[in-house]
Amino acid sequence: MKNNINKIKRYMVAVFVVFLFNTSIVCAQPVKLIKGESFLIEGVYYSDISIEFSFSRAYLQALNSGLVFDINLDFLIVNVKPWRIDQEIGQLSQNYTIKYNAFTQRYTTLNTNTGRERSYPTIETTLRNLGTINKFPVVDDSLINIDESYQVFLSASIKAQGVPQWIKTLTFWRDNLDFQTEQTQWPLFK
Amino acid sequence: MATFQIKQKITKKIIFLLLGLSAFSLFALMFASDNPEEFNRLQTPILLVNTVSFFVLFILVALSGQQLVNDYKKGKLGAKLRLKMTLVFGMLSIIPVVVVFFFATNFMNKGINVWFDAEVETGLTNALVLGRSALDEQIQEGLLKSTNMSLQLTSIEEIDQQLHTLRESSLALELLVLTRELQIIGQSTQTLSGLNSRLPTKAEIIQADSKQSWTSLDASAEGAYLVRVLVPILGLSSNEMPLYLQSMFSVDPALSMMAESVEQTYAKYGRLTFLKIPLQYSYIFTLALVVLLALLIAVYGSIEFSKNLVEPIESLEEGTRLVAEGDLDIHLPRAGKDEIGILVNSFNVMVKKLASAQTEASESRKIIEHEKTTLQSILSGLSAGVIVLDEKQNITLINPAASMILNVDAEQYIDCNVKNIIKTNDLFSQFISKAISKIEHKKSWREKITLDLTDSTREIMCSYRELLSSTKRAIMLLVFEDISDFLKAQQEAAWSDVARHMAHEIKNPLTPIQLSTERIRKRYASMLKADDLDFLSKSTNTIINQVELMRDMANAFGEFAKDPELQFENLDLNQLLNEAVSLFEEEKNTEYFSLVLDNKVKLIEGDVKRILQMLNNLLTNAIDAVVGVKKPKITISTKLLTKQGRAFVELNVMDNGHGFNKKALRSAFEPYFTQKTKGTGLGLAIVRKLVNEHNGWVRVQNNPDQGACLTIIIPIKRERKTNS
Repeated sequence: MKNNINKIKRYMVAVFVVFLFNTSIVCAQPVKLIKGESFLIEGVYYSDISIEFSFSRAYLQALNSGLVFDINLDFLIVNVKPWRIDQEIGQLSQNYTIKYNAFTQRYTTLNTNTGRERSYPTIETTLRNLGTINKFPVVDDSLINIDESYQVFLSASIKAQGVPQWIKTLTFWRDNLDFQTEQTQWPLFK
Repeated sequence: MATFQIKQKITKKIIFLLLGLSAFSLFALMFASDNPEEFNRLQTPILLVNTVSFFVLFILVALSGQQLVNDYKKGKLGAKLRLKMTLVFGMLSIIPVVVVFFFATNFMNKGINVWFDAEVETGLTNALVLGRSALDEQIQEGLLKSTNMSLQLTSIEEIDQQLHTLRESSLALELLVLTRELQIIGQSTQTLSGLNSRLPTKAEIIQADSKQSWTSLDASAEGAYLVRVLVPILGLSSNEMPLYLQSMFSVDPALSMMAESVEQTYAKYGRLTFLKIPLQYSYIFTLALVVLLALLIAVYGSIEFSKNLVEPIESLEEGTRLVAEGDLDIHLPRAGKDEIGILVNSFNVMVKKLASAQTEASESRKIIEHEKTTLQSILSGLSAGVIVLDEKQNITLINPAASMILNVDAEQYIDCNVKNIIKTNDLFSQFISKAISKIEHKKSWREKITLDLTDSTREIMCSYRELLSSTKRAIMLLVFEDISDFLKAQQEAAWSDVARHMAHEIKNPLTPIQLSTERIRKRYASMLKADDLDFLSKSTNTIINQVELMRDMANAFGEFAKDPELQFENLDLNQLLNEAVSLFEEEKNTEYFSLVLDNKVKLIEGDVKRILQMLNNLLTNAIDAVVGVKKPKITISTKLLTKQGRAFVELNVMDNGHGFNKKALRSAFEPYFTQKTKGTGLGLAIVRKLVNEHNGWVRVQNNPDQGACLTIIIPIKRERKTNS
């Protein structure tokens, strides 16, 4: 009896490990690296941001199947105060959608903030262009005290449109293609 | 118990609430599936409700199941039946539900698979290819137009004008002339096109260089399609600065709309295909949840059903056990209107009637007990003895007076048959034997029964009556009284009367007789001769002596008949005995008295004169008893006794004389009875009278070896009569 229980326990552990392994394969992170730096031009702080997207097979399959992905970049400018609570100076977000057109066989990106649409023949080109953001205006110099320390925080999130929440709930053990990165930070100025 | 019932009720309410919510949510889910947005909005909270219901129900089922198994293990009555019923009902519901679930899942999967049939996908792909081929014609046409336009551009001067003319003629939306470095040399754009133009990428330029053209199909946000063509302008290009023409043409709107429709359908199908497996999982999960809910409801229902079915039986068993133990203060809870409910109601009615009967019986018993106690009090208070026999002549009652009169322990003879009792030879058996011999002949009689004792007799006046009980059974009632003392007292009274009369009648003529005799002797003494005088003297002396004797006798009778008022005072009995013995020893010149006196005997209450008279009689009798004995010995002893809280002194006068014969023992205290040749026979009679006057007892018995012993017991303190 005890042996049987031990066998069942071992079997359950094995199933759990396999489940975790499978899950880890499916859930490959679509955003690998975020880098950024800020600079001041004519009273405005800008940032050059480099995001390395790496869509896994599941993402590509979903994209090519017709799913539209929302890519949101959330910026946060914080006045970092040692020994005190940090002060939030401002926040802004940059939102994109990316989709694949089966007719044109091109990937289209749309900046929903500006309405600017671009199409690319390959996903690599699309993601590379999407991940390269140059001279992005962050904050006005008038809001900044040069004697203090400021940090720019950026987190990126990817979300598949058209997948109902209940499906996500019921298939909680599967990759639901939604992803949120940790916050990356860099100083507003050195 | 009440708290437990309240908790049960609350639990049931929660269960019903959750089940209601679940049922409602499932129906809502079913109806909302027609509206995808509503479906998506409701799905999560509905699933949450169902999941909560499932877990609550699961916990309840687990707890109920555990309780059931525990009851079964403990061997609780009804647990086996409950478990069996639960298993049967559970299995009866589980099997069809599982089968239904299996087939439903199978059908659902097949149905979903049918939606994603390969033929549909192929059809869509073909439609896409067809659309593309249609658009390819537009692209080719655009390419042809662009190539022609590039050939027509021969000069860089007025390039915008040339481009405008060409655009007008070719119906292009936009024409751009640009360098490899994407520097725009010339441009013409349709004003109302709303075109969101874009420059070619370097890759596209390289493509155009290598293949002499580059085309692409762009989709706008509005769903329109644009053909983009990039060709080198050979006529204007130089090695240093190659130029390119980018033309943009709009696709035929009808074609564009159809292409957009095909693309959207294809994308939608692609999305659905991608969501196929999650969708299947979701449906299976939902179905499984519903099935599990149904199963849990069925199992919980079977547990509750079996519990409700068996509970009245359990309570009936418990009730029966309590009734068997004598607890009639129970009322089983109502158990519905079915047969078991009727049985429970009947049980309650039965217990109620039993309780009522028991109360009545208890009341009757109390009354009987009360009456019995009253009767016993009466019987205990009676001075007459009462013995009751049943129809089989078993003794059912002996009152304390009967025990005392017959000197018997009543308890040991209760329920004994008289035939067993008369085999013995004690006072009780003598009485019963004599009474029974009379019972057999008459149903009612009153007679005196004489019982023989070793040294006396006892006279019993007995009445018998045969009665009938309320159950028509014969009751034999013997009521009797010891009249020995009464008879003796009566006898004594008669003797006293006789003695008083005798003393009076005899004493009166004695003095004249004596005086006359003395006068006769005096008158004739001088006249008679010596012989005659001697005769006269002897005769008169005899008369005078006999008169003296008769006077003494008359005095003794007078003494016996005396009934003076006693003068009680505290006296030292031991001292009186010492003085009396000394006096007797001096007077009689004897030395055979020995005194064994108890020092504890101090003062007693008594009449000194009467006590001294009593001692005088006793010592006289004792001395007379030892006349002729070789070594006469008279032992006088006193002893302090305590009986029923009262102190008594016991006085024994023991001699080693001839003792009493059997008749003398019985009549020793009767007046005018004596074994001696002289004496009045009133000595012991007077002693008994004196002892009685002091509320004491006197008895005489022969010693085992020789002589007799006379015992007197008198109380230390006389009993004072009170009003109570």
